[in-house]
Amino acid sequence: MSGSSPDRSTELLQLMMKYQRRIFAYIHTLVPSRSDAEDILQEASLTICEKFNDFELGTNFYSWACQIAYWKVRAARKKYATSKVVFNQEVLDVISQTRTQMEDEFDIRHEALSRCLQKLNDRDRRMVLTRYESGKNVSAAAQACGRTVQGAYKALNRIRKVLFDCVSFELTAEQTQARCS
Amino acid sequence: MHDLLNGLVEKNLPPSKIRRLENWLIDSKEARYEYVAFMDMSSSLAHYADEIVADEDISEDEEKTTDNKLLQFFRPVLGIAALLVFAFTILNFQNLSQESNNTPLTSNQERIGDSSISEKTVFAVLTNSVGLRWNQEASTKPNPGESLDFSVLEIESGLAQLEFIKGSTVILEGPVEFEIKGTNAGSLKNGKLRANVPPVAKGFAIDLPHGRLIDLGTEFGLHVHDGGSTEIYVYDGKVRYEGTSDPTEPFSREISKGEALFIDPYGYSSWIEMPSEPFMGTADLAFISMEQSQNRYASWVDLSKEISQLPETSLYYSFDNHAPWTRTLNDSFSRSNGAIIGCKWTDGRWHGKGALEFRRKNDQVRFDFPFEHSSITLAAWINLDELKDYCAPIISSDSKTNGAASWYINQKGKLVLELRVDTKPMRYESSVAFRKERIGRWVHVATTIDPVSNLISHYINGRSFSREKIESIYPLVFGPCLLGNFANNSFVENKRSISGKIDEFVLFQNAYTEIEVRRLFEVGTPYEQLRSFGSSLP
Repeated sequence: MSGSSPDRSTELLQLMMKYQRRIFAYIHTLVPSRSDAEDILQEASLTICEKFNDFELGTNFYSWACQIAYWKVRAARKKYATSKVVFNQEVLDVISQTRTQMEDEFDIRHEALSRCLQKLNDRDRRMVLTRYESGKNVSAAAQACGRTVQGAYKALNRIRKVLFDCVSFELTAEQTQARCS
Repeated sequence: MHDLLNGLVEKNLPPSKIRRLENWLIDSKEARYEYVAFMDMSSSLAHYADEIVADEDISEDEEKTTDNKLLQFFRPVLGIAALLVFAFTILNFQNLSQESNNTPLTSNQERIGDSSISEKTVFAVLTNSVGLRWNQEASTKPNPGESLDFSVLEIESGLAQLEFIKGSTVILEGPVEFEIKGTNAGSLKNGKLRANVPPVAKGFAIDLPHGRLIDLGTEFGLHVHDGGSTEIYVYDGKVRYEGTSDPTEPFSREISKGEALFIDPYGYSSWIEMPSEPFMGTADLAFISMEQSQNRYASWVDLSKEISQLPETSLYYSFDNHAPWTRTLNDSFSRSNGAIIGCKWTDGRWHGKGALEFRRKNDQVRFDFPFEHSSITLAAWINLDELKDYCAPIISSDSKTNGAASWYINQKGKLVLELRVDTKPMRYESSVAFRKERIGRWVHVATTIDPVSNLISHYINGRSFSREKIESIYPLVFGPCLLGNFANNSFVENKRSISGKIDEFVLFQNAYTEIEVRRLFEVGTPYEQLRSFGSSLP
């Protein structure tokens, strides 16, 4: 960002605030471990800052940022082999393409998930949200809900399945409604 | 498919199954669709989980609007005060283990995991204090968090909490003279104490002027008066007093819950209904301590408002009132809001006060400060996790112009202001300010440039630490710069983040005097100021 004006910095800030969650979601699709995905997001954010002068305002910031993120994932694969990026290059490419094709539905899925979370009972909701808190793991979720770690694994598998089905159902309902109206 | 995906996000999928999943993803469009949807749900869950944790903190104060919040499931954990006391204790034990090892530690986790507390060399730890004033002539004047072996504690006024290695907790109420004699033993020469002895520490013994009190698993209060008379009061459980009256006549008394025994100056005992004065307990001390802490926080909030309205304030990050998910660090004038990269929000000097934690190498806040100043004060509150192989940057300019500045602690523990002068660094260094006792604690650092006196001054915890003549004629410049990390154009070679926390940063466009800097420290310090330490050393 060397040499960038304060206005330009403000633009970058606004764009990063708006898209950071989605950029993270993109990286997380390619890198299934959350902490590894966060590390790559950080690397990508730095490059986004440094290269922001190359970005043309008015074009698609999210796509531009995802390109940087994609190359960061590729670089991480070279650097760390499969310790961070578990998939081979061919898989990364097809997943990335699929994600691009599904881009329109992610906001709907995100909103639907919040409704589905509300439908869970308190204990399951606590379990899954504790597991996904930053820095927490299955053991923490087990402890928070008074379960064994093994029991927590099983419960989390079940809860994710319930949520996934619920979100898919909500998405279908919304798409059907949109077609009919 | 779901089993594979669950295993994948939990990082426990064996390579053979990862290969199987890869094949599946390449072959099947449906599998790819399901995979992407699943991983997107996973990142949304992470987002909601963090948002809810943040929501808890905010809604604790507001106690309202639960209906229109999309998600609001958990309530704050009960007993925050108890947690604070617990956390305080843990931290002190961390410091203790640090000191006994004499080795810098690399992270909080490692500190928590360290179990090198030695019963041979450490008998007790001073874990808390309120209004503590040591006797002027006292031989030992420990700071909170300090570990103690054989020592005589002479307190003029205030409260001190000792935690013995075997598990007993003792509150000393000044004026008092108490001797630590072992991991489960002490001697009360004069004054009041209240002891809580858990079953694990049964047998805790305190020597008294005419005898010895042996605990049988309980909570009790002791008061030794000036003439040597003693009151014993048992709150819970049972104690045994083994005494000697004058002339030598050994005797023993068991004192049970609710009973009080009086020992006169000659050693004779008699039962009394109640002690003459109440004893302060751990709960009282925790409450007073928390109350004082809240008062200090409130005072700092007032100061913070004042700073944000001062005409000389040019840049001010209070780090307060930020939602934990926000990635923007607000300058109080909104001129130089920073982009947070990597670092995470955490508690600062007080519970509920925001701070940024810089843990990973590239954690940083990027911002632009397009002003030049010839006269300046830089001040910050920092808490370093370690200082070993790398310098600890506070702010660093990425500009290549003359006067571009970096302000940091070097590996030796010196506070350094580095200015670019004709493509070379000009460094103004303090003497060594950060030794192991300042690692893991909040420290106030400040540096001023005063063209009138032609001096650059460094301050640590409100005290002047060193002064040097200004040799550069260029005004100080930041431009595009980083908080908590080194910019590419700084001269420091091995760059990384500060490895610690920052919870306040201010830049004034004039040079503060020592009195003004000290006020920033005194109002902002989260620690009780022990008044017996009046030396001019910081």
